Amino acid sequence: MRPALVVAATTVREALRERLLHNLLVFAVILIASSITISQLTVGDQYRIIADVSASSTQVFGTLIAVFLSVALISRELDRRTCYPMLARPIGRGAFLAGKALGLLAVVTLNGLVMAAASLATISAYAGASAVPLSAFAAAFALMILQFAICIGFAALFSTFTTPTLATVYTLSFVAAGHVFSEIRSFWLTDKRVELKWLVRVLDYVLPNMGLLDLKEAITYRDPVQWASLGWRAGYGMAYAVLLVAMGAVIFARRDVR
Amino acid sequence: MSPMPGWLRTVAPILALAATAAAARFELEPIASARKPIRELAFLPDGRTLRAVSLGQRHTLADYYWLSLVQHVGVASESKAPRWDAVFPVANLVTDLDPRYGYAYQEAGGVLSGLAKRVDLSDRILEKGIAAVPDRWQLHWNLAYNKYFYENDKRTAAHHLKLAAEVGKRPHLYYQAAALAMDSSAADDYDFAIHILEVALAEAEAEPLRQVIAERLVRAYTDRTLAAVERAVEAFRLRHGRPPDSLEALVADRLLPAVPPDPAGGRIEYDPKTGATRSSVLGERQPILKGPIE
Repeated sequence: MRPALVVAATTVREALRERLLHNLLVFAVILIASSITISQLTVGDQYRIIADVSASSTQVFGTLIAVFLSVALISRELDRRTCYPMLARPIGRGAFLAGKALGLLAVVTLNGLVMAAASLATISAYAGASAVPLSAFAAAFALMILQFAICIGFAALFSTFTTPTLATVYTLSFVAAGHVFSEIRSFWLTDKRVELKWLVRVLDYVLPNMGLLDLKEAITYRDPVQWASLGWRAGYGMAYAVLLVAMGAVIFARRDVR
Repeated sequence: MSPMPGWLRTVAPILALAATAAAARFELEPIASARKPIRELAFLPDGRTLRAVSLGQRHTLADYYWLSLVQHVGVASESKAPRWDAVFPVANLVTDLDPRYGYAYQEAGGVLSGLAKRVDLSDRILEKGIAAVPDRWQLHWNLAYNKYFYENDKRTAAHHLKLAAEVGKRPHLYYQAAALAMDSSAADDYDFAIHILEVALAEAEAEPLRQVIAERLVRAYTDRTLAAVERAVEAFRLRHGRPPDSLEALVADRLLPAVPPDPAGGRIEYDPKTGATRSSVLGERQPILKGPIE
């Protein structure tokens, strides 16, 4: 465990120096703050626009940060063989990959907290602090961080056997497929015209169901948080992300890196 | 002639390019500032398809189309020949993307009936909203408004008013629904119409719609006043066997407490030869429940 934590600490320091991270974060915060101006374009129900734009900005920019940062810090390092000095030390490959993923998760969580704080400040500035549904807000942003964790998991998995460009493409494709599939699965499962329902069932479990980790709607409509459901969702997200990193570790352990 | 200094050789082309860009930008200002209303309905995507490929951003897409719709309504209401044909498809798309967007159903329903004169489409979007957001009482209320004022269907109007009262926990709507159900044969139920219009004015937020409702409310106040004067004239005729010479004669006979002011801002006029009364601003009283607001 200790070697993994050392790698994680190194990864955090390395990630915080990435300019891409700072640029995307600044864009996200600017977009969140500008949601007040965007909301002035409508009549009535402006809170909704601010809440939607803030949460969506966090989700989109957080996903981009997670994917590009992960590929940059794992895939690039393996591709350029800059990880060799580290691997020459008494540290397992699995611990190395887990440490990388853990460090990236820490950085992405920090980013998520910054964007959550910006969102909270923006919504409070418009509607007052008492108008913010705090439990829904916390639940939605916590699940968003688990979405980012899944992005890191995919990036870690693909980084172990392909190039940085392909790792980025594959990761974004699987995340997008997870979003699309969570919307259309109900139609596929209920519509009589769609055959091969067994395949839909298989895909339903293989692809990440990003819709289950998306509670932005709870902020928009100030829905009460169902804590049991939140627990299951969080368990699903964590298990899926850890599974991806574990699969990556298995592949990485068998890879010839000479 | 001394050669150009080195730093100037670098800065001069940059300044020239900046000046060119600024000049072109100045020339393009009318295009940059032009409003771009929704015209090409053929390019509106299918709501279900767009939702499937929205990558978890269906709320933000719904907001985008909603803001476009608000701009479209604003432009159309200022136009001399307004086009409203985008309202229903865009509202339908918005509510396909976010079926819980109660405010969109409510406002689109009001615009479609009040401004676009498409009560059929207004009913459709409101019924879709009631199915998706059954706890939003304003949708029942808007549908009752359509049924009462535009479709002369008092029975259905009373039903939806009752549902609005139940869902919204608004007892005064029960009273109105009951009055409508019991008095469905009375053609001059101005008090009821005024009740509904006052609530409608308090609920509507789109300025063009508020204006239409406010104008209709003045019409209802004026017609209620004219109806009261007509009843007094008829009572005078029964009592004396002839019409009164003036409105003051009604006051002297204690049939009216005073000559009423004209709610439309003019004065109440009376013709002793015909016995007819009229507002100097809005003219003669109009029977209510005669089609959509003009």
